[in-house]
Amino acid sequence: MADDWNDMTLVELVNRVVDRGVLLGGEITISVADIDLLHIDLRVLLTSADRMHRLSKGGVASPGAHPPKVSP
Amino acid sequence: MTGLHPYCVAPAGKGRPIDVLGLSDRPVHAHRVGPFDVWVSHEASPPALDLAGVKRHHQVVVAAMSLATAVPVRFGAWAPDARVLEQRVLARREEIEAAADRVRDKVEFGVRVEERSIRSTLEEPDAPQDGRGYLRRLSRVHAARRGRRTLQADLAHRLDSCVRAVRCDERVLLLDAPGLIATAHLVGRGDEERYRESVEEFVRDARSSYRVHVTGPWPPYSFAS
Repeated sequence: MADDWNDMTLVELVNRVVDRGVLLGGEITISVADIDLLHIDLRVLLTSADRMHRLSKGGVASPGAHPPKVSP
Repeated sequence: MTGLHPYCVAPAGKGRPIDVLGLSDRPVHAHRVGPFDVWVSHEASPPALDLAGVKRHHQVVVAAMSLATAVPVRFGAWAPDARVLEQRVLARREEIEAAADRVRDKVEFGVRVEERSIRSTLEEPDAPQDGRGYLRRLSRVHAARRGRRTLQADLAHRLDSCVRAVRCDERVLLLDAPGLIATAHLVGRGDEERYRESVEEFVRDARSSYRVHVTGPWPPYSFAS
């Protein structure tokens, strides 16, 4: 699975391993000092395409309407 | 100080870790907790977040997924001893079982769409000279944000229209510029080729205007919680 580590695959890898998966407590405090060449999507909004489309058509979505999902 | 670093939670008795090393090159073993085997390695201290550790964590999850459906654990969940680990896993037993049902026999693909220009549409290079200028700039910034959100919604909808018939579930992340959206799709094992063909339709349409990256198959990290 995904063993071709180009830059974009590394971004996707780090985002998944660090920011997703089941939480079991005791998570480390994230420091990006050692991986500053990568962009981690820590400030993102989790939704679905359907919901986004409905909100967009309804004109009620705005960037500040929902709190960002921030990793521990 | 020693403790346990968990990688994933698998059904009990569905295979033992073989030929895979954990962080710090420690051996990985299956620690039985109720109905689960938690794949762990003994580590001298909580793991540092570095690329080598992230890759190693992922490799262990991939090894587990080759044996049975496993629920990936987020990197860094270090427990000081087995008792604490067991308490944490059992406290989330229902959540883990639901996640295992959701991702059973499935893999994850990712589609990331980015702007071709690095410059954000929200940038305003010139500082306003007076209050009226400030309000005009504020109005432009808000209009750009609304436009950006509409664009993100449109891209997500176009992408989903292409893959809806083959994906089982989805997660859409809205990205800061120059990113636009990052979508995770849950796809049944055996449907990988059909998914690639479906997503290629979106890629062909979008890549003249955007950078589009498709990655996977991954373990189903985005659907584990």
